Amino acid sequence: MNSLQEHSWWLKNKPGFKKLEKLLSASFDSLTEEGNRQTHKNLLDSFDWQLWQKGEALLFAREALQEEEYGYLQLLSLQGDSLQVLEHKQPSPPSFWWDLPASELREHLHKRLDVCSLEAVISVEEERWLLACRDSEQKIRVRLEVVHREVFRLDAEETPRHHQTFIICKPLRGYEKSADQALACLHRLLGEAANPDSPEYLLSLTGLHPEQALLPSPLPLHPETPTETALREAAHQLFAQARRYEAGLLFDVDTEFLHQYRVNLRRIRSIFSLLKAALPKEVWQELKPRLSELSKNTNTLRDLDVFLLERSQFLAMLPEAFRPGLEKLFHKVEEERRLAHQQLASRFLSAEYEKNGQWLETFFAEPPLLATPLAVMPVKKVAGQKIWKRYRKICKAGQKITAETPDDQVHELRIECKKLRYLLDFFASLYPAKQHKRHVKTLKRLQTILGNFNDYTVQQEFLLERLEQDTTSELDAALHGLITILYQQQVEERGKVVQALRDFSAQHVHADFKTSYKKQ
Amino acid sequence: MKTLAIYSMKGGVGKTATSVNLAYWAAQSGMKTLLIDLDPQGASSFYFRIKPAKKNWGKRFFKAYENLLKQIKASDYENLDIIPAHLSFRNFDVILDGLNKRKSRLQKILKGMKKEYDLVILDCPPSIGHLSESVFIASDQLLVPVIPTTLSERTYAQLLDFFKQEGYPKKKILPFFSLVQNQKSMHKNTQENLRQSHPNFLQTVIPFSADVENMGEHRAPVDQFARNKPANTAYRELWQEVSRYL
Repeated sequence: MNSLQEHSWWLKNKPGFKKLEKLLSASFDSLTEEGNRQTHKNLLDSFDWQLWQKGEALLFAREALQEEEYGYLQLLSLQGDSLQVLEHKQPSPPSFWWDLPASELREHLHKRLDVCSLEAVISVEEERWLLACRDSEQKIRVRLEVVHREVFRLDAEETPRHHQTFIICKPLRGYEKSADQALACLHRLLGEAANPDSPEYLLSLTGLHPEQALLPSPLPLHPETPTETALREAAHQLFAQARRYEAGLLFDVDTEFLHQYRVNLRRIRSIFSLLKAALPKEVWQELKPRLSELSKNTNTLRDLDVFLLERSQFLAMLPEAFRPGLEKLFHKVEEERRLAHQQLASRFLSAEYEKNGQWLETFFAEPPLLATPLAVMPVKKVAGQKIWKRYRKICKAGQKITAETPDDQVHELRIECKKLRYLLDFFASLYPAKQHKRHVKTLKRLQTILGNFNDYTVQQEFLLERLEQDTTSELDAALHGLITILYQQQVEERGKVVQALRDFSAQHVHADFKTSYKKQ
Repeated sequence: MKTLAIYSMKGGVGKTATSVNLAYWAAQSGMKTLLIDLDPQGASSFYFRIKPAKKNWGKRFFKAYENLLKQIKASDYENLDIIPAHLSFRNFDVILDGLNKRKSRLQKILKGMKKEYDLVILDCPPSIGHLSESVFIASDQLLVPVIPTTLSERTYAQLLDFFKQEGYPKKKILPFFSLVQNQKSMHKNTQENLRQSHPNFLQTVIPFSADVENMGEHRAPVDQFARNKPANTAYRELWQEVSRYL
């Protein structure tokens, strides 16, 4: 059943029935009122605008009909084209993709949002006045809706309310001409054509600018900027970004807030430590502990989060009979997580934390000291040197790794790769985007294997610790089973390391890095 | 997509009232429904206030589907579209006549509606001919209103014979009692007899009712003007029962 394209026009004022009736009488026998409806709509996205970033938005609409509530979720393009619709009878919008019943939309949101929660960013309260234009048989030829609404953003209290009125013309199949006639009758009232539900329009109306909330990726650097200046400026932005996640972390909205908080802090820590010679020694010694202090607080909570996020994966690894034992462990870890979150929250609210944060903010905003040779060197020059050196270091260390090399050395190599990754990402804006993408892709292949290898080790350690603490025979069996499987997976991943390293230092990759970063 | 035909060889058995109210309830239940008014008397279009089509129908087969689409009109109710009767619905026979396998032609044309509709209801003219045979082939179920009188009993038996003779599956036939007046002993007795010999009769019975006759005056399904009356309840229950067969 094809529904026909509806069109909307802005109106200056809500017209009275008599006036509409008179205007429409030129083409129709009668105009009838078909009732009023109140519709409540929300525009939804994640805290980091993951839908917006892909040119999409999610609209939640709820309508109070006589008896039952009617609601739906609609995935829209930013321009307002409907991409997917799902009936949603709940009184409030979903928080996570897994709150929805199995559907195409659920899968789509899974892909887009993963563990991130949805929040309502804009509210639209509509009062809809339904009208029908009828012919001499009293058959409806075209439907009209006069909508008066209030639009406001939800990121703060007492935000400005935007009042608007528009009319929707809804053509009916087989009576397309009647829609044109109705519009001709009303042309004196009509303002400009409207696209009132287009997310793009709603965002600009309420003054929301997702692009300003997000850090540009990559961070823009000027090739000639002194390195210390570039470092402070980048850290200043990254730190502001990290602090953006504090509120969500405190309220425990979802696990992504903590994760992103840590990611941004780690980026600050790593660029400073990779380029620490840009600061006088005593300054670095003061900065370093202050930075580690921030992330140290969060380690326990993140470890527990990671374990809990892998719940279904862990359960799937075990035969049915062992699962109840493991479920008990998950319940216990959930409780530990609750406590860890409380602890972290109280640290976040402490005067000490605030003081440290302020110190760092001031430090990043201060003018550079430019007191060391590296501090004054143009950032582009430093970039090439550092990346090329790190790449060669990995290749050299990689050559020594065989199937028999102890795990410790493999872990060290993983950390070297991480450092290279931070360098590539930090300096990305100084190089062609295509080149950056190619190098990151090559590095990522190696990092995935090393990362998996490390994860399996960490997971085993986590479970082994449990084995020492909790001893019900049921759980013991489950833990032994899991550790065995993880060990096998670790061994399997270890087997891929040598080849991956060989690929990474292959002649053509080496040549590519050399031409890209080595001083000509 | 399912196709439901409302069919009777005999006129005046409440066929059109059934088509209109069943289409209405199907649409209300959320099914995207298309009612095709094949009866040249055009009564079901009339009940939905839709003027008969003036446009000419194309005569060639390859245009039949496109022509059909152009005739679709939205009703005043959500999920319900209608193809109104043509002034001379011989045209449908014209379309059907040009075919090699003409009896399955209608079925082929309707297949194209699958993308748009969940249910097609055919309001058929009271006769037996090419058109009715195409309907028998195209429909998943044939809903047959039967007034519990001796005459209707005979007509129903004729339909069964015809199905047997032509090898159409008898399972498609869903008979139900229509325009029933239980104060008449003949109505009562005939119902009992028929239910005994034909256990496939539906449980729901449509009573003889002034409200159904008033549809002509209100030009709307019974639910729109006699919501709490027995006739309305009966049609809603009939739809619920029929939908289990679809």
